[in-house]
Amino acid sequence: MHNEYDIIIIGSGVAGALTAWKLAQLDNYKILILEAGDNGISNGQRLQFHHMMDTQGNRGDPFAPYKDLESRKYAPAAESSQRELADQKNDPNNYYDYFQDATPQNSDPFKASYNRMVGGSTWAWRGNTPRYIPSDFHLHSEFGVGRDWPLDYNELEQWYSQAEWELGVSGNHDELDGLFGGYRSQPFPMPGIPLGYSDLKIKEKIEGKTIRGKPIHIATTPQARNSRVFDNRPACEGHSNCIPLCPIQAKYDATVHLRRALEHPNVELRSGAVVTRLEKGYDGCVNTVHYIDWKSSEIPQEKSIRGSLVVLAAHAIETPKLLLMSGNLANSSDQVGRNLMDHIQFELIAMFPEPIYPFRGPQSVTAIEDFRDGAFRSQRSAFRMTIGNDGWGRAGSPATVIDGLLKEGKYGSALPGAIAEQIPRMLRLSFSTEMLAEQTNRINLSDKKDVLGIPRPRFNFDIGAYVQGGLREGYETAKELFTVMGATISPTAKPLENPQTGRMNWNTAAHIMGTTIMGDDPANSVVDRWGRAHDVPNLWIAGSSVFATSATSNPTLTIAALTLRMAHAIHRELGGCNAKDK
Amino acid sequence: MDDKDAFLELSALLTGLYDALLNDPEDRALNMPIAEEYIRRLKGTFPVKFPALLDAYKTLATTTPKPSVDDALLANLRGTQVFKDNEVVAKQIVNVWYFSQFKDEKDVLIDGGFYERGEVWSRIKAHPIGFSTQLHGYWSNKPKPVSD
Repeated sequence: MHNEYDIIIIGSGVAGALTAWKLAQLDNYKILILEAGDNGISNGQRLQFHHMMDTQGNRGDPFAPYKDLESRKYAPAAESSQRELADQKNDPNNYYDYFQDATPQNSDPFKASYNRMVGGSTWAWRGNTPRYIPSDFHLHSEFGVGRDWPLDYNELEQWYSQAEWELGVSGNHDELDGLFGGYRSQPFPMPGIPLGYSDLKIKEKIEGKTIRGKPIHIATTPQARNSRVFDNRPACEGHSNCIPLCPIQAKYDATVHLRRALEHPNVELRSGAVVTRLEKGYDGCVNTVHYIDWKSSEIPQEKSIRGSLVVLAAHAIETPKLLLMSGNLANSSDQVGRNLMDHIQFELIAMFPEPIYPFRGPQSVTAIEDFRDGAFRSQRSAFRMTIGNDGWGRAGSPATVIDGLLKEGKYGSALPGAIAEQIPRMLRLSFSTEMLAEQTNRINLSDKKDVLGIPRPRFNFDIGAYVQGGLREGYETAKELFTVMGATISPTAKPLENPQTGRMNWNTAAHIMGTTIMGDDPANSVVDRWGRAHDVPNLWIAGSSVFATSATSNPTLTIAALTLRMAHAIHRELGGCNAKDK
Repeated sequence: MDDKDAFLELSALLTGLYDALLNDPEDRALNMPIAEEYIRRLKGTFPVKFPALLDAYKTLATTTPKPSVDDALLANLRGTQVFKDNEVVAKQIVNVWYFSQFKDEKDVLIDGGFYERGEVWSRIKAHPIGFSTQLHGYWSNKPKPVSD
């Protein structure tokens, strides 16, 4: 049988889109992108999504703009996963399932979710793009915990630079060149986003002060957000709506590269196609991709397609799920679905001593990078701290403040003044900790099915003592920073410890990683240093599921760098297995 | 007193937005169709409690001579059992004017239909989230005072 496509890419998020675009650029490959979701990628679609939020109201909800999509039925996601374990387990409609013996006393919930859409989860990302630092690649060698990557910072550096140009990253070279040894061979394509009024006032109070043994530096976060017209997209106008959706696309999302890829006549996108199984031939290579087409007719249709090479880029839950559904494909190591990681986050909220006028400009412009490395990483996680420009962020909207005022009885003429006095002083410090790759943190296949009869993911998840140590240190650090600022911690702030469960209160950063982990040894990893499955020579995996450490950086830039590098490797190696057999 | 006038007075009383809802004729005229829509949506969400609160206000506000719409009248209203029984609606009247959003008794967020007209934004010197009308970098500057 002839293969209909040279390359089939499963998933159209940042990893899938970059793979398609780069390979189309490198050769005249016939490429098919299969995507479970179904939505437009035009500017008109963006505006429609944006206005959807007016009626949904819940700004900051990564699913708010997308409530009208039919794909929510056929390609479900965990839209309510920001809940505690008992709430999730008691909800029969929750997409996530848990092992039966998981209780709030012995397990944590998995709170991260993702968007199953054309364009993937970049429809709801913040846009922050810090690089890993060198020690993040050899955590085990340096600190005796977690894993090492099979590659290092030096090897990835040139790809980081390319990724920064592709995504359009703004940043200040001098602030970050050499950060914990992480040199930068090229400047950012754009200067950093201007600091907010709030950043400037906070900087006045804490820059250079020593907090928990570290001198504090406020640095502009590198972010895929235009500080000038770049790539035919406008400079950020400060709509303060970065999550979920920049209304003018000053923030990069994967539709940029999808549109570019689809300009090539040999690249095709098939949306509404939920992949159910990868089938191997006698040669050990994947040759057929089975999927359900839910949009072409009234009744979803099972279909299949043949390709010479398959790139799996369906993010870190659906990717391992699909391998497990394909007869335990690429899993001789028994690592598929294991090593599940997220960035475990906490937000401490306070009132600054004077108005700093949040809700103007990007939701966060600056960060404190000083706590991302140190000998302590042998004992507890590092963290990266961001300074919010969005009040209390996910911990409370302006409505929370008004609700508090009404509880105090401040109706009537006292109310407008109290609002004007309090809301402009809202401030959050958020810190994201690193998780270790642990065998026991995993997803598996549930016996509960979605509407297409596909198993839902089942979780076993515990943030562990390493993260808890990082959270405690982050909490103390944030408290000391607020003290130095003269800020008052809000009485509505959640405590770090949850007395009901004896566990910790935390948020997800929704950075899902690790479930098809990368390594040199096929006995304990799923893909090799290039992203190719050890067990299946023509199966490649792109995205954060290959990450060996979570580190403290938002993952998207590293996903992009690895993907660009992988695309070149595919191009070099096409010809090894069934290639051009059509 | 019809429902619309009563609702605007009650809204001003609860929110403190006297100029926008009562005193400034231009603002009041602009807010009239918004008030009609808010009445419709609040009544739909709180079919018993909203009319009860509105009627309680009408009872107090239509005595002779007509009392001033001010904090003294608010204190009288808050002293009634009807207000205490229906305070959830009073809070949502405040929310709908400041955010053009309110919650039902199950905490589900409901759209008021005029998101960009929420009164909170000008008071905190910001723009409705998602609707900046300023240029790149404006956020570095201290916002200019906004007159009511």
